[in-house]
Amino acid sequence: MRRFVVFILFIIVADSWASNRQPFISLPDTVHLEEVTTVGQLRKFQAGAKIEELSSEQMSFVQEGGIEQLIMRYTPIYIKTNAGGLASIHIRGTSDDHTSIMFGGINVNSLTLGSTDLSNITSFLFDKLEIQYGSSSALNGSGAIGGAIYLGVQNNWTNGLNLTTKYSCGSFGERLYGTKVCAGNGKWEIVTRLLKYKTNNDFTYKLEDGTNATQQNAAIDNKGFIQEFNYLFGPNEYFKSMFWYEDSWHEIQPYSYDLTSTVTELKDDNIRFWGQYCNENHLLKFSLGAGYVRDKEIYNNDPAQRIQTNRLVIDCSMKQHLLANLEYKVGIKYKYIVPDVYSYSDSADLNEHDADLYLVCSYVPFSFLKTTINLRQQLVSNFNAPFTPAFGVEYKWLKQKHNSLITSLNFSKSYRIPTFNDRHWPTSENSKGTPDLKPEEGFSSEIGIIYNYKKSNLKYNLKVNCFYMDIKNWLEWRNDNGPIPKNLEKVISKGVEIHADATFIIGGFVSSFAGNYTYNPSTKIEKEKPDQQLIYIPKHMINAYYNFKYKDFSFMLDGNFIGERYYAYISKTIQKRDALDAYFLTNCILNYNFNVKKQNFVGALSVNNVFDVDYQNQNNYAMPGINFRVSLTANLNFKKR
Amino acid sequence: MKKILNNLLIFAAIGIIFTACNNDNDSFDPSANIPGFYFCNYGTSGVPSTITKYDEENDSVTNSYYYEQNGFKLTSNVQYMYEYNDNIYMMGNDADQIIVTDLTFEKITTVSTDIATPRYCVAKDNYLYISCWGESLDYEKMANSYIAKFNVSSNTVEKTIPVAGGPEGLAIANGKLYAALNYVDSVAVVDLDDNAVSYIVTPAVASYFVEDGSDNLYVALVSTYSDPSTTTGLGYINTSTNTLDTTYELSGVSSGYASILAPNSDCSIIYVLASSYVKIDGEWTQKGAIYSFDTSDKTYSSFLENLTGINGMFVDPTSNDGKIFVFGGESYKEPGTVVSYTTSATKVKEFDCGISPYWAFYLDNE
Repeated sequence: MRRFVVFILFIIVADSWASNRQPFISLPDTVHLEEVTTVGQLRKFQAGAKIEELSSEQMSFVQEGGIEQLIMRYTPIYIKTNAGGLASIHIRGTSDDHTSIMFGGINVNSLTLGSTDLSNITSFLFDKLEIQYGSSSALNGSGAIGGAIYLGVQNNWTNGLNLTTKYSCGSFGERLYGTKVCAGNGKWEIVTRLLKYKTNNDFTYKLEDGTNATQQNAAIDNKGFIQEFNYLFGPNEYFKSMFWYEDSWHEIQPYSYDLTSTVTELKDDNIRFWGQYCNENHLLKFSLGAGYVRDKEIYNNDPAQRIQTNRLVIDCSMKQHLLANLEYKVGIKYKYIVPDVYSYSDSADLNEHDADLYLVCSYVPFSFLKTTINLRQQLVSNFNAPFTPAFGVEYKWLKQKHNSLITSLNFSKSYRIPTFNDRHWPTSENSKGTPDLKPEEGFSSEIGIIYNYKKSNLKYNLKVNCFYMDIKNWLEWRNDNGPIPKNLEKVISKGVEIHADATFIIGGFVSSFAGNYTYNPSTKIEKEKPDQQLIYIPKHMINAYYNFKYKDFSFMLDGNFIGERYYAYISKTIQKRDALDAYFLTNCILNYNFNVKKQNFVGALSVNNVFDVDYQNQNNYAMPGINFRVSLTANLNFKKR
Repeated sequence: MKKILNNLLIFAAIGIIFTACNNDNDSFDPSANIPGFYFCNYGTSGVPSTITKYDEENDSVTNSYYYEQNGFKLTSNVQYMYEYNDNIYMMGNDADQIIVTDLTFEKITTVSTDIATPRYCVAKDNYLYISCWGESLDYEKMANSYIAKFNVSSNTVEKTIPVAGGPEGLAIANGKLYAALNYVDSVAVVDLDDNAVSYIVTPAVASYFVEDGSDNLYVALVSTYSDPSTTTGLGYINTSTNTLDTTYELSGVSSGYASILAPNSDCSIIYVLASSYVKIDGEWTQKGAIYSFDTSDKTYSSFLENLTGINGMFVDPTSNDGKIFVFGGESYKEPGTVVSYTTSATKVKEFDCGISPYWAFYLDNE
């Protein structure tokens, strides 16, 4: 708490000092969380949905490790993680299998587990990260109850050759080697991205008795490769393709008290391909996409314990403006899934056909009012999925030269079909699994207020979102003569998210501040049991960051507060809940831009966990104290004359 | 601005004062009172084991008993606990360690050298024999598993005896060590004089033993994911001939790693955790069940049916009419439950314990 107060005081003092120095001059278009207008034109058909994008600056500040590092530092989303080997996302009090992770038209979540280890998705490989809060099942299909993450790459239709290469070196043997090469002639473009990230993770931490120990057997070695080939036929007509190979290896971090552990390792190989042709030159705009995904996981180098799935994805959609203010989009997405999991029964045909039919519609009756309707029905072989509609509306109360006030409302149904493991993992009752599970079904409602102010030299935004989610048939693995998945009664997650940001320039100084606060009671409700907050969901979270630029220097300070988290449930008679202490972490980064022979270079120094806080994000997993990182990035541009 | 800053500084100062005044003294008051039933709760991922004590005389339940006695928590998930020579030995396998305490559960030491994935133990002549699944677990055949010979005087492993196949439950009878192999359809027999290993072939993999009072053994035969079998039940091993004399078949015997067999004090009855079909809402559904096996007429009778989330049982050893404690938990993240029954299956008492209770024993003053 003391550190949090010091942190806030620092920001106030820095800002007030800066504001007293010079009159404002013109304001650049830099905000920390921007509205999304790119991938899939998300907002267009989802009025009232909260969708944000991390800025390219934020993306460039935190490129080491997985995308969970970015999300933890800049968004009001809780990530349950250990020291880098496993990170699961919990948007708005939901489970990690309630967030879709989208890459093109592919949801990269494992079909067996239903979720993605975010530490295996290295942020260096991507140019954009967009986050949708709240249900988006009507748009993305099964699983998007809590939200969705969109991984994006930027198409610049390069004319010439761009090369970005980065080397960073940090504490505990951390190294990152990354390269992006873009080559093209303005019509075709080839982009290659390569990455290797490794860390020994041999940090020192404190044991309960006050003595120090060194973390062992928690190394990480991830390699990633994305190859794009894009062709621009003409205005609004293009073909894009992305091939993504990820080779992720890590040692499974032992508990903090396990000082004699031996190495246990996990290796994931993921191949993902997405290709899309799009032609928007006609009245009926057309898009056809196809993809292939192979996920393979090997536990402890034992090929007998192979968990693999293959899937083919085809997505076809058309959209049209019926009127100037009325647009619709209709489509079908088909998936063919072939699981290959060592424990599943051989006697059943587990291959699955899966088709999603969707219709989305946007209607703007007045300049101050926008409405959208989304309808989706999934058809799955051997399973019944619910119909999921969504409705959204945005109303502009105020639209003046310098400020605007918008209220939004969104209602949606959502669902999650039980994963392959849920349905097919053998149990003591049935060697073919648990076929009679029901899908989780959610209903969510949300109201938001957005106030924007922008003058020549000052810009600030205030957003408040209140949400309520009711998720029935919540799935949990229970004990009934061995582990077995069961539908529980329900979970109700509600809360408030407040976001504020401000940017202004004083003389040569550019100063930006942003902060988020989240209050999120997420309650499990079961008959004959006390209602109680879900484990590993903090009720309170705060993060704030301050960015200060002067000429070629920039400095960012960020801090995040994670409230108390329970890690076990109580019963009617055992009322004392075990919880992890709240903690506050502070990080800072200093960047220096310089040019050599007209080519740009960026040197950076980062300090993480500045106050060397001893904390645990997940019970009994040690986390690193203060650590340092230096990096050098070269941005080389060879344009054609 | 100055006023705001002043106010913030005051708030910060108050925060620091309150933080500094925080009372962190987790004082504890260990009890010297030993008699009672003790339940070992396995815990769950990231949550180590706890011990629950039920003092029947005072009708009191103490959860987190180990913490109460030591002022710190256990640092492993304990698979099994065992009392020998006035000490208690806990087989912790995440992290791998043998935790040694006195009878009040005050910690004496932990041992991890030459201990890899310990499962169960028995004792003879100042030695514990500990079944270990070894490092780099191979869930097909458990090729690296072994028995550790642990000297309870020096608290060291003196020897390891390779026994492939995942030895789980152990028993000593007729001067030999019997190891129920959980990944191979056999029981291993270790000659304690020369450590030679021989095998008794079984129709299914085995899990735990009950000694019948005449130095012969009943062994639980179970069907598992990695080695399914249709012939499950209780096998009877003649330790003179080292043969499986008979198999008393019972379907759905629990393959769990807890106290699935529980004899009464004279071994006239063995309670067996299994499953049975019961009609719920007009549909036949497989549910947990406890059967009593009469060792005289070799028949099973249903003791309790329609159970959910049961891990094991324990019978009060002080009397043949002693209570049967049935324990388990539906969730891996919530406190478990202990329910006591009379021998005629009448419920007596119910109380909550730690997460996933696996084993229990009774300690008296002697």
